[in-house]
Amino acid sequence: MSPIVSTLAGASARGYGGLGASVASAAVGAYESIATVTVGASTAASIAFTSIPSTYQHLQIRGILRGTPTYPDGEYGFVRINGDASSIYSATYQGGNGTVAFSGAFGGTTSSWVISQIGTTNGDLANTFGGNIWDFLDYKDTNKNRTMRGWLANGRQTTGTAGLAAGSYRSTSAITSIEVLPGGGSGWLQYSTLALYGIKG
Amino acid sequence: MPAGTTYTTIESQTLASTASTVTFSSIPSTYTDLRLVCSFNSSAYAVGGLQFNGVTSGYSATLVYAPSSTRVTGQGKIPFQQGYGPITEASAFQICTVDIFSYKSTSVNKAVQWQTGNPTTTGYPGNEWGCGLFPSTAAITSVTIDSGGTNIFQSGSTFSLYGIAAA
Repeated sequence: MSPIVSTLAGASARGYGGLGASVASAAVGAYESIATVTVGASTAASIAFTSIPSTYQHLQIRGILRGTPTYPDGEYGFVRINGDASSIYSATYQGGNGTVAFSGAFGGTTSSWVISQIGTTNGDLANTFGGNIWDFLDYKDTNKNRTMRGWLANGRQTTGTAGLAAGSYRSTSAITSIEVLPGGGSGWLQYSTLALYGIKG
Repeated sequence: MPAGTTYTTIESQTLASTASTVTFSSIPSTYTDLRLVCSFNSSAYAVGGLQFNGVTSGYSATLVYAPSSTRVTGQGKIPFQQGYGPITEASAFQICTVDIFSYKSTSVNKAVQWQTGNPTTTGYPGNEWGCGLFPSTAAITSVTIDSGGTNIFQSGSTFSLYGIAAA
């Protein structure tokens, strides 16, 4: 993890409104920045958030990614929860690549949640990254398996892909760490950034 | 350790009369991402979209609206093709959310995601999401929402810009 620069800094604000919320309803702060990881000059093998506090209802990760391989539809990746590499993850997705709309699923045989087209690659326009927003709902409720939702896009100049995904991690353990690994190549490139937020109930 | 609350309202605009465009200017550089939440009624179908910093060329986007997907490049804006409306339902409003990542970074081109839904029962109903690229490393200081025509946005339409600051 040495190439990764992790920062914690102050942030002021008023509140979390959500879809369609009015300005008035956004008066109480319920959306907090927890931590940010930005890849430095050296490629990072993964991006990880550890020691996630249990003081929220939901978690959200937002950020931009760029990987090293030259896959036709951009870089994909894996999300691993609590360092658990057992085969209890699954995911479904749908999206489009500018030519066709597509959908698919990954069964419960993977060692992490597979998410497609989350990053641009070295073959894309320089300085161009894929935008991502992932929600981890009820992440600390030990009565439920963990459910995730992703909104992902790689916004490449010539063949951008946009998609939606849902994933399941079949464990009732509270999430205390989240690691995002690249699907191929050597890792995440400089300026790739993911920020973790907590949303209060 | 959490750094504190964020998701701050930067500015909210409600149209008192019709408008062709809505612009947020002088956007502060104190956040990491921007989120735009729009609720609008339109007088006619048009391909609207987004422009940044007054730039009118070079945008590209991928749009998804089941069962199709379309790619556009070299555009004058990041286009939203899936219907602006409702056209004949005065009290119905369309919702659109837009996320703009790392908007002040001078090291990256600007990545955009959006989702919009048009609930009309006449005209052009539909749901669309997509991603766009503003191929510029300049910090975004203004955002314009283009209705795609003359005075298409109707009175009562609201446009709110939020800032999200990462730790």
